Amino acid sequence: MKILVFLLLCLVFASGIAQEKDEREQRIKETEVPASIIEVLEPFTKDLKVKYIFERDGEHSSYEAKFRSKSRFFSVEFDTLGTLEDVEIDLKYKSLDKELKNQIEDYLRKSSTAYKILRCQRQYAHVSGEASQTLKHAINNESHAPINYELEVDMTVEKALHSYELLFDHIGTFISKRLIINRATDNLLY
Amino acid sequence: MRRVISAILALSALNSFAQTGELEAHWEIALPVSYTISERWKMNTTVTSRTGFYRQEQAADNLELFVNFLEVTQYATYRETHDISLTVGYRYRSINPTESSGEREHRLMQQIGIIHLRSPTRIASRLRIEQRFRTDDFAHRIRYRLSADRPLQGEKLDVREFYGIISNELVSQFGNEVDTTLENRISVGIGNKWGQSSKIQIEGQIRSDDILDTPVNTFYLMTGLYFNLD
Repeated sequence: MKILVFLLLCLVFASGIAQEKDEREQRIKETEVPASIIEVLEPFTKDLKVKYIFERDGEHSSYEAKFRSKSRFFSVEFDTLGTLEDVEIDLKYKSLDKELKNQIEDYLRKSSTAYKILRCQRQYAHVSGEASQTLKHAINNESHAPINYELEVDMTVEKALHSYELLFDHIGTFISKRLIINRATDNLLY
Repeated sequence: MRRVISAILALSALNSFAQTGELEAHWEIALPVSYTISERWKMNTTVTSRTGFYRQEQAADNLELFVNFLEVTQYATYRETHDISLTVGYRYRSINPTESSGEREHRLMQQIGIIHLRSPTRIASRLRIEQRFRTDDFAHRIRYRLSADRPLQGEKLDVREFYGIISNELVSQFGNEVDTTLENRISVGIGNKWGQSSKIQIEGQIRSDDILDTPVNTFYLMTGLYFNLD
Protein backbone atom coordinates (compact mmCIF):
# COMPACT_ATOMS: atom_id res chain seq x y z
CA MET A 1 0.00 0.00 0.00
CA LYS A 2 2.88 2.36 0.82
CA ILE A 3 4.29 1.71 -2.64
CA LEU A 4 0.94 2.55 -4.19
CA VAL A 5 0.71 5.82 -2.28
CA PHE A 6 4.32 6.70 -3.17
CA LEU A 7 3.69 6.11 -6.89
CA LEU A 8 0.48 8.10 -6.71
CA LEU A 9 2.32 11.02 -5.12
CA CYS A 10 5.00 10.81 -7.84
CA LEU A 11 2.25 10.87 -10.44
CA VAL A 12 0.56 13.93 -8.95
CA PHE A 13 3.89 15.74 -8.48
CA ALA A 14 5.07 14.97 -11.98
CA SER A 15 1.79 16.08 -13.52
CA GLY A 16 2.16 19.41 -11.73
CA ILE A 17 5.51 20.18 -13.29
CA ALA A 18 4.51 18.91 -16.72
CA GLN A 19 2.29 21.74 -17.88
CA GLU A 20 3.88 23.67 -20.69
CA LYS A 21 3.37 25.70 -23.82
CA ASP A 22 0.18 26.96 -25.24
CA GLU A 23 -0.39 25.70 -28.78
CA ARG A 24 -3.88 24.55 -29.60
CA GLU A 25 -6.69 24.07 -32.01
CA GLN A 26 -10.15 24.69 -30.60
CA ARG A 27 -13.49 23.81 -32.15
CA ILE A 28 -15.80 26.84 -31.97
CA LYS A 29 -19.41 27.60 -32.83
CA GLU A 30 -20.41 29.62 -35.87
CA THR A 31 -21.61 32.39 -33.55
CA GLU A 32 -18.05 32.81 -32.26
CA VAL A 33 -16.65 33.43 -35.74
CA PRO A 34 -16.34 37.07 -36.92
CA ALA A 35 -19.30 38.04 -39.10
CA SER A 36 -17.01 39.16 -41.94
CA ILE A 37 -15.72 35.56 -42.27
CA ILE A 38 -19.22 34.08 -42.33
CA GLU A 39 -20.17 36.65 -44.97
CA VAL A 40 -17.29 35.64 -47.23
CA LEU A 41 -17.97 31.92 -46.84
CA GLU A 42 -21.77 31.98 -47.08
CA PRO A 43 -22.16 31.90 -50.88
CA PHE A 44 -19.86 28.86 -51.07
CA THR A 45 -21.09 26.84 -48.11
CA LYS A 46 -24.89 26.94 -48.48
CA ASP A 47 -26.37 23.62 -47.28
CA LEU A 48 -22.92 22.37 -46.29
CA LYS A 49 -21.81 21.30 -42.85
CA VAL A 50 -18.98 23.61 -41.81
CA LYS A 51 -16.65 23.07 -38.86
CA TYR A 52 -15.03 26.17 -37.37
CA ILE A 53 -11.73 26.03 -35.55
CA PHE A 54 -9.73 28.68 -33.75
CA GLU A 55 -6.05 27.91 -33.99
CA ARG A 56 -3.30 29.45 -31.90
CA ASP A 57 0.31 28.69 -32.76
CA GLY A 58 2.74 30.76 -30.74
CA GLU A 59 1.89 34.38 -31.54
CA HIS A 60 -0.10 33.56 -34.66
CA SER A 61 -3.83 32.98 -34.32
CA SER A 62 -6.31 32.17 -37.04
CA TYR A 63 -9.82 30.99 -37.81
CA GLU A 64 -10.25 27.92 -39.96
CA ALA A 65 -13.39 26.71 -41.71
CA LYS A 66 -13.47 23.07 -42.83
CA PHE A 67 -16.08 21.64 -45.15
CA ARG A 68 -16.63 19.09 -47.87
CA SER A 69 -17.83 20.21 -51.28
CA LYS A 70 -18.05 18.24 -54.53
CA SER A 71 -16.38 15.28 -52.76
CA ARG A 72 -13.36 17.38 -51.85
CA PHE A 73 -12.20 18.53 -48.40
CA PHE A 74 -11.61 22.28 -48.05
CA SER A 75 -9.82 24.14 -45.31
CA VAL A 76 -10.12 27.92 -45.45
CA GLU A 77 -7.91 29.96 -43.16
CA PHE A 78 -8.44 33.58 -42.05
CA ASP A 79 -6.45 35.82 -39.73
CA THR A 80 -8.09 37.25 -36.62
CA LEU A 81 -9.13 40.37 -38.54
CA GLY A 82 -11.10 38.22 -40.95
CA THR A 83 -8.67 38.49 -43.86
CA LEU A 84 -8.40 35.37 -45.98
CA GLU A 85 -4.96 33.73 -45.79
CA ASP A 86 -5.33 30.64 -47.95
CA VAL A 87 -7.59 27.82 -49.11
CA GLU A 88 -6.31 24.24 -48.97
CA ILE A 89 -7.86 21.25 -50.71
CA ASP A 90 -6.95 17.63 -50.03
CA LEU A 91 -6.12 15.66 -53.13
CA LYS A 92 -4.41 12.46 -54.13
CA TYR A 93 -0.74 12.91 -54.92
CA LYS A 94 -0.98 10.56 -57.87
CA SER A 95 -3.56 12.86 -59.47
CA LEU A 96 -0.92 15.60 -59.97
CA ASP A 97 0.57 16.26 -63.41
CA LYS A 98 3.48 14.01 -64.31
CA GLU A 99 5.83 16.95 -64.84
CA LEU A 100 4.96 18.43 -61.44
CA LYS A 101 5.45 15.06 -59.72
CA ASN A 102 8.83 14.64 -61.41
CA GLN A 103 9.99 17.99 -60.04
CA ILE A 104 8.77 17.20 -56.52
CA GLU A 105 10.23 13.69 -56.51
CA ASP A 106 13.51 15.02 -57.85
CA TYR A 107 13.72 17.27 -54.78
CA LEU A 108 12.74 14.41 -52.45
CA ARG A 109 15.34 12.05 -53.93
CA LYS A 110 18.10 14.66 -53.56
CA SER A 111 17.08 15.50 -49.99
CA SER A 112 16.64 12.03 -48.58
CA THR A 113 17.58 8.39 -48.92
CA ALA A 114 13.96 7.26 -48.64
CA TYR A 115 10.61 9.04 -48.51
CA LYS A 116 6.91 8.37 -48.29
CA ILE A 117 4.25 10.94 -49.18
CA LEU A 118 1.45 10.84 -46.62
CA ARG A 119 -0.77 13.76 -47.59
CA CYS A 120 -1.07 16.23 -50.43
CA GLN A 121 -2.96 19.52 -50.48
CA ARG A 122 -3.38 22.15 -53.16
CA GLN A 123 -3.04 25.59 -51.64
CA TYR A 124 -4.58 28.74 -53.09
CA ALA A 125 -2.78 31.58 -51.34
CA HIS A 126 -4.75 34.80 -51.09
CA VAL A 127 -2.29 37.40 -52.29
CA SER A 128 -4.53 40.34 -53.20
CA GLY A 129 -8.00 41.27 -54.40
CA GLU A 130 -11.35 39.98 -53.20
CA ALA A 131 -11.36 36.97 -50.86
CA SER A 132 -14.38 35.59 -52.70
CA GLN A 133 -12.36 35.50 -55.93
CA THR A 134 -9.68 33.27 -54.35
CA LEU A 135 -12.40 31.05 -52.88
CA LYS A 136 -14.07 30.81 -56.28
CA HIS A 137 -10.78 29.77 -57.91
CA ALA A 138 -10.35 27.06 -55.28
CA ILE A 139 -13.92 25.75 -55.43
CA ASN A 140 -13.83 25.64 -59.23
CA ASN A 141 -10.39 24.03 -59.19
CA GLU A 142 -8.96 26.72 -61.46
CA SER A 143 -5.33 26.19 -62.29
CA HIS A 144 -4.43 29.69 -63.53
CA ALA A 145 -4.62 31.09 -59.98
CA PRO A 146 -1.50 31.23 -57.76
CA ILE A 147 -1.19 27.66 -56.52
CA ASN A 148 1.20 25.92 -54.17
CA TYR A 149 1.30 22.30 -53.10
CA GLU A 150 1.71 21.28 -49.47
CA LEU A 151 2.93 17.75 -48.80
CA GLU A 152 3.36 15.80 -45.58
CA VAL A 153 6.28 13.47 -46.12
CA ASP A 154 8.19 10.90 -44.08
CA MET A 155 11.87 11.26 -44.94
CA THR A 156 15.01 9.38 -44.04
CA VAL A 157 17.88 11.84 -43.93
CA GLU A 158 21.32 10.44 -43.06
CA LYS A 159 19.68 7.54 -41.18
CA ALA A 160 17.48 9.90 -39.17
CA LEU A 161 13.71 9.51 -39.53
CA HIS A 162 11.81 12.79 -39.80
CA SER A 163 8.42 13.95 -41.02
CA TYR A 164 8.14 17.28 -42.85
CA GLU A 165 5.52 19.59 -44.22
CA LEU A 166 6.96 20.69 -47.58
CA LEU A 167 5.72 23.52 -49.75
CA PHE A 168 6.22 23.56 -53.53
CA ASP A 169 5.03 26.07 -56.11
CA HIS A 170 2.82 25.21 -59.10
CA ILE A 171 5.72 23.84 -61.14
CA GLY A 172 7.22 21.85 -58.26
CA THR A 173 9.94 24.24 -57.15
CA PHE A 174 10.70 23.79 -53.48
CA ILE A 175 9.71 26.78 -51.32
CA SER A 176 9.98 25.80 -47.66
CA LYS A 177 9.80 22.97 -45.15
CA ARG A 178 8.65 22.58 -41.57
CA LEU A 179 9.43 19.72 -39.21
CA ILE A 180 6.37 17.82 -38.01
CA ILE A 181 6.49 16.55 -34.44
CA ASN A 182 4.62 13.26 -34.48
CA ARG A 183 2.66 12.24 -31.41
CA ALA A 184 4.55 9.87 -29.13
CA THR A 185 3.52 6.25 -29.64
CA ASP A 186 4.47 5.06 -26.15
CA ASN A 187 0.85 4.45 -25.12
CA LEU A 188 0.26 2.31 -28.21
CA LEU A 189 3.45 0.27 -28.15
CA TYR A 190 4.41 -0.32 -24.48
CA MET B 1 -10.74 -1.48 -42.65
CA ARG B 2 -11.99 0.67 -39.76
CA ARG B 3 -15.34 -1.16 -39.77
CA VAL B 4 -13.59 -4.54 -39.58
CA ILE B 5 -11.45 -3.38 -36.65
CA SER B 6 -14.49 -1.92 -34.85
CA ALA B 7 -16.39 -5.17 -35.35
CA ILE B 8 -13.50 -7.24 -33.94
CA LEU B 9 -13.25 -4.98 -30.88
CA ALA B 10 -17.03 -5.05 -30.32
CA LEU B 11 -17.14 -8.84 -30.57
CA SER B 12 -14.27 -9.14 -28.13
CA ALA B 13 -16.04 -6.84 -25.69
CA LEU B 14 -19.23 -8.90 -25.89
CA ASN B 15 -17.22 -12.04 -25.34
CA SER B 16 -15.62 -10.57 -22.22
CA PHE B 17 -18.88 -9.53 -20.64
CA ALA B 18 -20.73 -12.69 -21.60
CA GLN B 19 -18.39 -14.98 -19.71
CA THR B 20 -19.39 -16.42 -16.40
CA GLY B 21 -16.91 -16.77 -13.57
CA GLU B 22 -15.50 -14.79 -10.71
CA LEU B 23 -14.80 -11.10 -10.94
CA GLU B 24 -11.76 -9.44 -9.45
CA ALA B 25 -10.68 -5.81 -9.61
CA HIS B 26 -7.21 -4.29 -9.54
CA TRP B 27 -5.75 -0.83 -9.70
CA GLU B 28 -2.54 -0.34 -11.62
CA ILE B 29 -0.35 2.76 -11.65
CA ALA B 30 2.42 3.10 -14.23
CA LEU B 31 5.06 5.73 -14.77
CA PRO B 32 6.61 5.21 -18.24
CA VAL B 33 9.49 7.50 -19.22
CA SER B 34 10.79 7.48 -22.81
CA TYR B 35 14.04 9.01 -24.03
CA THR B 36 16.03 8.95 -27.25
CA ILE B 37 19.65 7.84 -27.21
CA SER B 38 20.41 8.06 -30.94
CA GLU B 39 18.67 8.81 -34.24
CA ARG B 40 17.03 5.38 -34.34
CA TRP B 41 17.23 4.07 -30.77
CA LYS B 42 14.80 4.94 -28.04
CA MET B 43 14.65 3.73 -24.46
CA ASN B 44 11.68 3.42 -22.15
CA THR B 45 11.76 2.83 -18.42
CA THR B 46 8.50 2.01 -16.71
CA VAL B 47 7.77 1.56 -13.02
CA THR B 48 4.44 -0.11 -12.29
CA SER B 49 2.53 -0.96 -9.14
CA ARG B 50 -0.67 -3.01 -8.96
CA THR B 51 -3.02 -3.65 -6.07
CA GLY B 52 -6.09 -5.87 -6.03
CA PHE B 53 -9.04 -4.47 -4.10
CA TYR B 54 -12.15 -6.57 -4.88
CA ARG B 55 -13.13 -10.23 -5.17
CA GLN B 56 -16.64 -11.29 -6.07
CA GLU B 57 -16.58 -14.31 -3.76
CA GLN B 58 -15.78 -12.01 -0.85
CA ALA B 59 -18.15 -9.27 -1.93
CA ALA B 60 -20.10 -9.58 1.29
CA ASP B 61 -16.98 -8.50 3.13
CA ASN B 62 -15.39 -5.12 2.92
CA LEU B 63 -13.06 -4.29 0.09
CA GLU B 64 -9.74 -5.93 0.72
CA LEU B 65 -6.23 -5.42 -0.61
CA PHE B 66 -5.18 -8.92 -1.54
CA VAL B 67 -2.51 -8.85 -4.22
CA ASN B 68 0.13 -6.40 -5.19
CA PHE B 69 3.33 -6.19 -7.10
CA LEU B 70 5.97 -3.71 -8.01
CA GLU B 71 7.81 -4.00 -11.30
CA VAL B 72 10.46 -2.20 -13.29
CA THR B 73 10.68 -2.62 -17.06
CA GLN B 74 13.37 -1.46 -19.41
CA TYR B 75 12.72 -1.38 -23.17
CA ALA B 76 15.14 -0.60 -26.00
CA THR B 77 13.43 0.22 -29.29
CA TYR B 78 14.95 0.46 -32.75
CA ARG B 79 12.92 2.38 -35.33
CA GLU B 80 13.23 0.44 -38.54
CA THR B 81 11.05 2.90 -40.44
CA HIS B 82 8.62 5.67 -39.45
CA ASP B 83 5.96 3.05 -38.82
CA ILE B 84 7.81 -0.10 -37.80
CA SER B 85 9.80 -0.54 -34.61
CA LEU B 86 11.61 -3.48 -33.03
CA THR B 87 11.86 -3.69 -29.25
CA VAL B 88 13.63 -5.85 -26.70
CA GLY B 89 12.84 -5.56 -23.02
CA TYR B 90 13.51 -6.90 -19.56
CA ARG B 91 11.11 -6.82 -16.61
CA TYR B 92 11.72 -7.52 -12.95
CA ARG B 93 8.56 -8.04 -10.92
CA SER B 94 8.37 -8.43 -7.19
CA ILE B 95 5.04 -10.01 -6.20
CA ASN B 96 3.89 -9.08 -2.69
CA PRO B 97 7.18 -7.23 -2.13
CA THR B 98 6.45 -6.42 1.50
CA GLU B 99 5.86 -10.07 2.46
CA SER B 100 8.58 -12.61 3.18
CA SER B 101 6.77 -15.16 0.98
CA GLY B 102 6.89 -12.76 -1.97
CA GLU B 103 7.69 -14.20 -5.38
CA ARG B 104 10.02 -12.80 -7.99
CA GLU B 105 9.66 -12.80 -11.72
CA HIS B 106 12.05 -12.05 -14.55
CA ARG B 107 10.71 -11.53 -18.02
CA LEU B 108 12.42 -11.14 -21.39
CA MET B 109 10.46 -9.54 -24.20
CA GLN B 110 10.84 -9.15 -27.95
CA GLN B 111 8.28 -7.23 -29.96
CA ILE B 112 7.48 -5.70 -33.30
CA GLY B 113 5.30 -2.60 -33.36
CA ILE B 114 3.55 -1.35 -36.48
CA ILE B 115 1.68 1.93 -36.87
CA HIS B 116 -0.94 1.29 -39.55
CA LEU B 117 -2.54 4.71 -39.57
CA ARG B 118 -1.24 7.95 -38.14
CA SER B 119 -3.47 10.96 -38.18
CA PRO B 120 -5.87 11.91 -36.68
CA THR B 121 -6.89 8.34 -35.69
CA ARG B 122 -3.89 6.16 -35.03
CA ILE B 123 -4.07 2.40 -35.31
CA ALA B 124 -1.20 0.25 -34.12
CA SER B 125 -0.35 -3.42 -33.80
CA ARG B 126 2.01 -4.98 -31.31
CA LEU B 127 3.21 -8.56 -31.56
CA ARG B 128 5.22 -9.61 -28.53
CA ILE B 129 7.01 -12.79 -27.48
CA GLU B 130 7.91 -13.23 -23.82
CA GLN B 131 9.88 -15.67 -21.71
CA ARG B 132 8.62 -15.53 -18.13
CA PHE B 133 10.78 -16.90 -15.33
CA ARG B 134 9.08 -17.23 -11.94
CA THR B 135 10.38 -18.77 -8.75
CA ASP B 136 8.52 -22.03 -9.46
CA ASP B 137 7.87 -22.08 -13.18
CA PHE B 138 8.82 -20.94 -16.63
CA ALA B 139 6.40 -19.97 -19.40
CA HIS B 140 6.45 -18.77 -22.99
CA ARG B 141 3.90 -16.14 -23.96
CA ILE B 142 2.82 -14.81 -27.33
CA ARG B 143 0.59 -11.77 -27.39
CA TYR B 144 -0.95 -9.57 -30.06
CA ARG B 145 -2.53 -6.20 -29.37
CA LEU B 146 -4.46 -3.95 -31.73
CA SER B 147 -4.99 -0.45 -30.42
CA ALA B 148 -6.32 2.87 -31.63
CA ASP B 149 -6.40 6.37 -30.24
CA ARG B 150 -7.84 9.65 -31.48
CA PRO B 151 -8.04 13.26 -30.25
CA LEU B 152 -11.53 14.03 -29.00
CA GLN B 153 -11.37 17.54 -30.40
CA GLY B 154 -10.07 18.38 -33.86
CA GLU B 155 -7.43 16.55 -35.83
CA LYS B 156 -4.41 17.39 -33.70
CA LEU B 157 -3.80 16.52 -30.09
CA ASP B 158 -2.88 19.79 -28.45
CA VAL B 159 -1.77 20.50 -24.93
CA ARG B 160 -4.54 19.99 -22.34
CA GLU B 161 -6.75 18.19 -24.85
CA PHE B 162 -8.32 14.78 -24.33
CA TYR B 163 -8.01 11.69 -26.48
CA GLY B 164 -9.80 8.36 -26.46
CA ILE B 165 -8.03 5.02 -26.62
CA ILE B 166 -9.27 1.48 -27.20
CA SER B 167 -7.41 -1.79 -27.52
CA ASN B 168 -7.80 -5.52 -27.57
CA GLU B 169 -5.08 -8.04 -26.85
CA LEU B 170 -4.88 -11.81 -27.04
CA VAL B 171 -2.32 -13.45 -24.76
CA SER B 172 -1.37 -17.10 -25.13
CA GLN B 173 0.73 -18.85 -22.53
CA PHE B 174 2.37 -22.26 -22.84
CA GLY B 175 5.22 -24.32 -21.46
CA ASN B 176 6.00 -27.59 -19.68
CA GLU B 177 5.43 -26.15 -16.21
CA VAL B 178 2.24 -24.13 -16.85
CA ASP B 179 -1.24 -24.72 -18.26
CA THR B 180 -1.75 -23.59 -21.82
CA THR B 181 -4.21 -20.69 -21.81
CA LEU B 182 -5.58 -18.02 -24.10
CA GLU B 183 -6.52 -14.73 -22.48
CA ASN B 184 -8.42 -11.77 -23.91
CA ARG B 185 -7.84 -8.22 -22.69
CA ILE B 186 -10.06 -5.40 -23.85
CA SER B 187 -9.49 -1.81 -22.77
CA VAL B 188 -11.27 1.49 -23.18
CA GLY B 189 -9.78 4.67 -21.84
CA ILE B 190 -9.26 8.37 -21.96
CA GLY B 191 -6.12 10.43 -21.83
CA ASN B 192 -5.08 14.03 -21.54
CA LYS B 193 -1.98 15.66 -22.95
CA TRP B 194 -0.70 17.61 -19.96
CA GLY B 195 2.30 19.16 -21.62
CA GLN B 196 4.27 18.95 -24.84
CA SER B 197 5.99 15.82 -23.55
CA SER B 198 3.62 14.28 -21.06
CA LYS B 199 0.19 12.76 -20.87
CA ILE B 200 -1.99 11.03 -18.34
CA GLN B 201 -4.12 8.06 -19.33
CA ILE B 202 -6.84 6.17 -17.49
CA GLU B 203 -8.20 2.91 -18.85
CA GLY B 204 -10.66 0.28 -17.77
CA GLN B 205 -9.58 -3.18 -18.83
CA ILE B 206 -11.45 -6.49 -18.68
CA ARG B 207 -9.21 -9.55 -18.73
CA SER B 208 -10.89 -12.86 -19.44
CA ASP B 209 -8.32 -15.52 -18.73
CA ASP B 210 -8.55 -18.92 -20.32
CA ILE B 211 -11.32 -17.93 -22.74
CA LEU B 212 -11.31 -21.44 -24.25
CA ASP B 213 -12.32 -22.97 -20.89
CA THR B 214 -13.90 -21.32 -17.81
CA PRO B 215 -12.67 -17.77 -17.66
CA VAL B 216 -12.27 -15.57 -14.64
CA ASN B 217 -13.02 -11.95 -15.49
CA THR B 218 -10.68 -9.46 -13.90
CA PHE B 219 -11.22 -5.73 -14.05
CA TYR B 220 -8.21 -3.43 -14.07
CA LEU B 221 -8.28 0.29 -13.54
CA MET B 222 -5.07 1.39 -15.19
CA THR B 223 -3.59 4.82 -14.70
CA GLY B 224 -0.42 5.91 -16.43
CA LEU B 225 1.58 9.09 -16.54
CA TYR B 226 3.71 9.10 -19.67
CA PHE B 227 6.80 11.24 -20.02
CA ASN B 228 8.87 11.83 -23.11
CA LEU B 229 12.24 13.41 -22.37
CA ASP B 230 13.24 14.14 -26.02
